Amino acid sequence: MMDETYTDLIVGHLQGTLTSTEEEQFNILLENGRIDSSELKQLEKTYLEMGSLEAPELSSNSKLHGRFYSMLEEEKAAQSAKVTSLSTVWIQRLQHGFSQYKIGYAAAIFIAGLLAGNLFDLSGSQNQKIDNLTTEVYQMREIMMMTLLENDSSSDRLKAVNISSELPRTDDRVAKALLQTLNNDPNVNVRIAAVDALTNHASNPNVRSGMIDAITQQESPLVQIALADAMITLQENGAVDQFKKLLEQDDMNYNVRDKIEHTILALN
Amino acid sequence: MDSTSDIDLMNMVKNGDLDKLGLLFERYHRRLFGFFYRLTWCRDSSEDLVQGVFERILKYRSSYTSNGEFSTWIFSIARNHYHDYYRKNGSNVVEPKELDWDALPGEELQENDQSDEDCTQRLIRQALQQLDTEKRQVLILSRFEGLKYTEIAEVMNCTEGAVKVRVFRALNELKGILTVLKKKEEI
Repeated sequence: MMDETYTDLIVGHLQGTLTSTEEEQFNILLENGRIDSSELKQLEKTYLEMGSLEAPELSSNSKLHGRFYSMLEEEKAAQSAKVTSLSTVWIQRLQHGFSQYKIGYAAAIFIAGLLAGNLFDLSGSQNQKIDNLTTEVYQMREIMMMTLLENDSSSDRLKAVNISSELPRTDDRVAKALLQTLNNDPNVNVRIAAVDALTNHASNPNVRSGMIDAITQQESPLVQIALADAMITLQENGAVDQFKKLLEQDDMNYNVRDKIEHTILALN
Repeated sequence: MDSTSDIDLMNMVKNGDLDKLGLLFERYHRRLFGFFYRLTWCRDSSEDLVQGVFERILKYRSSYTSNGEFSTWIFSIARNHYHDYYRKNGSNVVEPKELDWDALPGEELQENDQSDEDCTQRLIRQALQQLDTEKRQVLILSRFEGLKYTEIAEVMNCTEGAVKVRVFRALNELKGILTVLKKKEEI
């Protein structure tokens, strides 16, 4: 084993962090044998061989993302519950402790602050930073949603659908995932939530056509009614033919039949 | 590279914007998984440990101070969590040193049809596991996680000089163990 007299130099040499002066000093010590060259070579070899260890990757069926985002959602729910109860207490205290005059005065200062803030426009680089961050948050939410949608737990899948409603826009990946959920999820509540979420993103033409196609694929009366309501909200008369096809089913629930007939009338 | 620094994001988390922890998770979970996996060679334990780190961050977010690099802070948490995990789980968890290398399945080890590179990797893994935890950690942090010696000193709560000595000793010991293992392999 090498002695520890020149530890700093040897370790620095291995990591490539020596300054030119230190490198010079190191080479002199190596030339005059104060640092054993064969020992150093072995040490270098070991250091290089360590680098050959492959980086471990998460397995494709890893539940890490799902677990993390479930935990985060729970913490967010707990936090908002806490904030709500605190704000209720605060408002009650305000009502008891302050006069309307004081509240009005505080509001005026607040509004003046906002107006003053608007005078100082953000610089370009800050705007760029904010844009990048917004994109990153969007991508993170999308990953969170996709991960939770794959979970076995229906409450996690429900969370995922709700997250999708918070997304400012729907790209085709999200639309496809929500439509798949609407058509294939085994849980009725998740499918109904998917109808609501898709309705929020109906500006995407793929979402609209996907929802129309889904009408005849639904067997649950609750989901059929949810889709009928959604089509009325969206005033989507392209859905009429699909609803008519649905009415051809003999074993249709009476209430659903009634609802769909009304929907067709409303859309025509 | 990053639209917002890790420290900015963590401060936002501290101030109640919990969604930003998702961004930090995306930035760090692979590195942490790599750190734990190289310490334990067990995927399940490594995932538990990564999850545990983020649970701790959420739990103690209010005590975060922006002193120093975020990576140093998160790896300090990771290191402490690793020690607690093994202390708490005690005999229920197989310590890496006790792993039966020849019995590990699938991707971990394949005795048949091994290339020289596979063989070297296996021997290095075995050799690494024979080091004590501190030495393993210092090598993993410097060689694989790319932390500077000053940063490792912060993570390990010691001086930079002490880190260099630990790296030096760990490398020497690893070299010795590897020599023995290679000889055994030849026999």
